[in-house]
Amino acid sequence: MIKNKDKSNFLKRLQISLLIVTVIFSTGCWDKIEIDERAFVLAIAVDMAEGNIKSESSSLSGEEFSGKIDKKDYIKSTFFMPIPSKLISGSVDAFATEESEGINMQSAIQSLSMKFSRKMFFGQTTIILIGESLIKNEKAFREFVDFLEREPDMGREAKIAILEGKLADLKNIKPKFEKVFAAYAGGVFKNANKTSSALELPINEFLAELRGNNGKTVIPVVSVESGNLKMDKLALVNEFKFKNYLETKYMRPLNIITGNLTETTMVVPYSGNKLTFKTRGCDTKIQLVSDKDHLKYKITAKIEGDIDNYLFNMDMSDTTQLKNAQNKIRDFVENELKKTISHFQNDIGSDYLMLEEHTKKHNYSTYEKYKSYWDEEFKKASFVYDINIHIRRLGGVKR
Amino acid sequence: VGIFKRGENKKIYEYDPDTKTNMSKELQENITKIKSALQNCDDIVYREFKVGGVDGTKAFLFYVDGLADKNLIDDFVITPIMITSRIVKPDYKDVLSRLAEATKDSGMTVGDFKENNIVEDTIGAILSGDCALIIEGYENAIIIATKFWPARGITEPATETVVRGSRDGFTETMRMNTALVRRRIRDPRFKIKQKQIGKRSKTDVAIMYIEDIADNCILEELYKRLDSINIDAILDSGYIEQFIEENTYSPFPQMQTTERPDVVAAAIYEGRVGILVDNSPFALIIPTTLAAFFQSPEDYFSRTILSTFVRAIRLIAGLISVLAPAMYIAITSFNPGIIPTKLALNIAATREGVPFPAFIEAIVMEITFELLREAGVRLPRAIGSTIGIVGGLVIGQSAVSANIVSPIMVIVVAITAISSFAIPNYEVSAAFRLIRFTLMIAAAIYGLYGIVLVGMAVLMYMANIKSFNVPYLSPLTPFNRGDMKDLIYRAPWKLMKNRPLHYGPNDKRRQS
Repeated sequence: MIKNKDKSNFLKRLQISLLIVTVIFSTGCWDKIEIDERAFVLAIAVDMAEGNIKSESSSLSGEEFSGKIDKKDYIKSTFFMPIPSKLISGSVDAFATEESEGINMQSAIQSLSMKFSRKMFFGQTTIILIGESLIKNEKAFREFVDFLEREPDMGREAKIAILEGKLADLKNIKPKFEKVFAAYAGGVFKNANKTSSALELPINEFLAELRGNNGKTVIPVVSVESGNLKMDKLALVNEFKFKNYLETKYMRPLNIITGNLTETTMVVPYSGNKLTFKTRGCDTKIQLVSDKDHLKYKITAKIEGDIDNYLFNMDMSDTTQLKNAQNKIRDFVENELKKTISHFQNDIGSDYLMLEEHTKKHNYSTYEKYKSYWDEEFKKASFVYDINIHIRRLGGVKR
Repeated sequence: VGIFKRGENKKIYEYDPDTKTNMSKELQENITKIKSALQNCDDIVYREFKVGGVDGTKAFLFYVDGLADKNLIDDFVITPIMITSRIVKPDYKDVLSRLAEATKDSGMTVGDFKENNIVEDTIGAILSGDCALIIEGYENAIIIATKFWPARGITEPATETVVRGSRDGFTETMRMNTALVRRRIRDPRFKIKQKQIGKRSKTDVAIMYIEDIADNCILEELYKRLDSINIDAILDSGYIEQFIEENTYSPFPQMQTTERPDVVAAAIYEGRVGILVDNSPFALIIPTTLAAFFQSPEDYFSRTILSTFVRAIRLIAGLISVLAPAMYIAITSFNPGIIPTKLALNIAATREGVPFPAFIEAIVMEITFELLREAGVRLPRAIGSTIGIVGGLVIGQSAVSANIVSPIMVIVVAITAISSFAIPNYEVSAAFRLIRFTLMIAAAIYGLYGIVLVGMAVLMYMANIKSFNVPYLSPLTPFNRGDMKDLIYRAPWKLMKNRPLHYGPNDKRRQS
């Protein structure tokens, strides 16, 4: 009996020590690549390949053995890599732009690596641009997302956007303030997010939305316009299928509903003038009021901000005038919300407002009831609004 | 066989510290015994004289030249006994018959003496600087305290300087050191127990504590460990430390060493025990915790907020001194994804052209720094600054411009060095140095994962060791909420009503 116990103890110890030893050998100095032996890929742009495919790319994709691959299936990727020594010394051509083709990302990277002295490293990648034709090709898009999920070094904060137009357009971009394309693009994304004209979408959120929320994702769209990058549109993607573009005017209301609104400027008509209201923050709560006959939601939003200019004769210390202004802004916001929701319900016909995810989290039984035909139910849903506008008067001057 | 037959050459006395030979009433026999033990010791002074005139009783004086105060012996021992005794009236003969008593009671004008009737103890007393007086017909030796030797004065401690606080430090003379502590604790319950350790060196060791505060278990354990020391010579408190510590092969010091009497006094007031060793200016304090090594006496003298800030800085310094080079290796060789892009590109640019991998680069620089430090310690002060110039300018600057190391590596090594100097205790910063090298090796093999692995092992080890049964990481583990008042945050004195409880003091309150 005792011997058996000893034996099982020994086996337990052996198992634990083997586990520890295995973990120790799972990495080691053989994985070591010095920082100066790496090529930092700061930005990646991918699209479907066009025209002739280079022979080494097709041979890497295994065409000779597995049969001819349709040219249309090839993807083309552009990697933006800075040259550190040139960057520090202030050289003009401080970044290298390398193009590569392949049947998927891995083979594209491999065919580029053959010509490279350094190992490509994605740990510092900040920008990922997906070409228009790739996002419209479900299979290629799925494979690309798979690459993003599997690449262990890939920075989880890298921002994703869709590139409207051709990859070649990117070559026309000449950043004015930054030396590196990625830094320039990152800045544009950040500003777009601040002004609520678009949104910043990190890989983490992107993947979470693709996997959750029934695969409905809103992805920002960038385009190249006279040597500049412009971010002013959104793309709606449903289960890896591209659905539609969304105009910028719906961006702000969408941000209010999803609670992502930060700093944006609303120009509200006010007694024959224009009132500029700059929001500082927004607190949104969505409640399911009832699920009889159809879904009914209540959207409660508290928006705080400043009046940016009031050249006309408005007395900020007068509470009645202030209330009037607040009411005007409230009506404006409510109207925006109504129009946006009806656009999603009637024109797009699909729930990109994250209501499904919200209901799943907070009212699971309701979600269970409708989950098989959620979009149909969403179209019929009704909404009540409780909008609270608060105008800050910090630093206001009484005239 | 012949050896045993040489009866005429047989010594009447052979010195053995472990035996106890009684003194005899015969003056000549005592003198022979002592002289035979001390023969060929040319620094011993023998003085034979007669009490009260040429026909007086014989007496004999022994002392060590250089250890005893000659003036005191001449003026207050020999003079009264030889000269002043002549004018004793009315019955001079009667005085002679009880000479020893008369000498002790009204002859010598010295304050401190005792009697001794063991030959070995008398010899021990002579060798420690006292003067032994033996009188014909009296079986006890009179040991007069005449210890006096040229000693280094009290100076500011070299290793623990403070901006605010007392400037006196321990010296090599134990009696002076105990006086420095006694001056700070005028309490009859403050005890100084003395022991002699070392069969040949007979080094004085003083154990200091306050009777009703210190934990008896710790005292008992200390005595037990001190009694077990069986060595011929103790030259420094470092010997004692290594004999009584729990973990001999640990890099971490398990006893606090200090040159400052105020630190010892403060520790004794906390219920800890101070140990002073003759000939060593470093006192030992037991038990101790890791946190104690990050505290400076100044923390308690300056304002709460300032002390807390400084302690936090020291903690950060400790972390940097352990982690910085290892982190550099891990980031440059394995995980460049975790730092800001611009920094990564910067490091990559500066490392271009450097012929060695980051680990070799770091090891070379760290070893160079260790060499500089070691050389700087041994060099005379006048040349010491040259080392700074050679190290800083020649090696640092030239190594970078020769593209052997990257400038960022030089920055890392410099920050590490500065941080390790910000740790108040030299020994703990030395321990951190060893861990730093271990972490560097781990980082070179496993990257950040290796740092975490070795870091956890070190933490587990530290949580496991004890100093006189007090866990090394207390009061963090085992957690003691009350003692958090004096860890990184140093509470105002008004609020620190209790002594640190993890040292297990008998009297827990210091403010009633």
